[in-house]
Amino acid sequence: MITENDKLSDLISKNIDLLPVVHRLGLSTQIGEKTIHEVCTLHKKDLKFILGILNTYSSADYLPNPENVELTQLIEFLSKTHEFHKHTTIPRLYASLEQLKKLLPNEKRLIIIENFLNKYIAKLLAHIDFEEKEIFPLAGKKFNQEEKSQSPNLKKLFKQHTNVENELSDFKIILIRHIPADADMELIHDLLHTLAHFENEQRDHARFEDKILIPKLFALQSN
Amino acid sequence: MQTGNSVIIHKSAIIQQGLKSILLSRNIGICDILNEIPDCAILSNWKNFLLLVDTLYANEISKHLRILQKNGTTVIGIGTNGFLSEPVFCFDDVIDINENTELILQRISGYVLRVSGIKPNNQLSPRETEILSLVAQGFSNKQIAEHNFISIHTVITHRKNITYKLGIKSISGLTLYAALNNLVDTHR
Repeated sequence: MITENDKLSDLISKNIDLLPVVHRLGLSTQIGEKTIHEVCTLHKKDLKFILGILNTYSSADYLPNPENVELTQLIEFLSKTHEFHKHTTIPRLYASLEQLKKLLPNEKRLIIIENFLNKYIAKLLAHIDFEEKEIFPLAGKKFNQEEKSQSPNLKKLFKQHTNVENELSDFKIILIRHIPADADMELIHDLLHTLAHFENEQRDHARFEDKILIPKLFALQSN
Repeated sequence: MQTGNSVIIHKSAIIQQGLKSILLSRNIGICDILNEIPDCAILSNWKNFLLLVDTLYANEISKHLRILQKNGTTVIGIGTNGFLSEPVFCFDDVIDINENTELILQRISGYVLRVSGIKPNNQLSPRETEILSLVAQGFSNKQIAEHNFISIHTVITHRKNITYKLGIKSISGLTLYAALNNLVDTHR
């Protein structure tokens, strides 16, 4: 369990995949020898919220007390995560695949894999768009009686998460089983590492939305 | 060492003995061979069993379906030509006794592994491969059932077995697997 007295640099050193999360939280500069409490004070951040995010991304079993998670801050963080995937993770996946294709121009399976990736990314971007346009704005909305009795979008979100997670996990398993014999192992490793990191991030992102965001939005609608 | 708990329920002594020799050839454990469906008290003691039952007992099996499913028992109908004219919903699968012995064995072995909780190798049976190909081509469970003259319940069972064996959960993942293994025409 990560506490306010832990040094942020130690945390990142133990789990380098936390660095993009720390960056999205606006804490990636002037880390030095500072504890999480000190970094939060320096950057004027909500300590309870930051600890909730860091612990969730460090442990698959952890979820913060929803009362310690302020809705506007959570949505801002989730939106930054979307941006990170759109502008960093997805281009990185395509870059690895492009390099593989250049090295193995006659490998037809790479075309099949690229087709799958294209469809998956299109679905993921539509899902992100749906969250940005339909779900996140619910946080600042006043609901009338009719709207309070209907919340189909929130129910739809949960199902979409399961699909998005399963497809990414399936993709990784299938890629491992079909590594071309003459492929550059470093490239394959890069691709699989990006996928595994993406899968973990998606899982934690969906946990926040399913277990904290959606119940909070439901509560807003029923008040 | 024998694997699994199976029970054969069939009136024909010839079919009983035939099934027995098939099961024993693969070291599949046989707990009992019966002529008819026993009473509910006995049925409810069967946990994670594999039942090979004459399709003529479909109505009686249907009456006990809830307890059988609750106990993790898999029920395979053993039929003869013509039984496929109507879908039989109470069976996880239906095997025609006229089928090739090797095919019967392959299908039964898959179910034995399932009730025994043993992770099988990822080798799909010919029937599962055919169903995977249809899933990858976008056919619905209903269309697949009609195409193969089997119940939707049987299609769902095959799909569960496919996912279990391959470790692939999503339809997109199954489609990618099928394409990479040349089970569908990727140029269409």
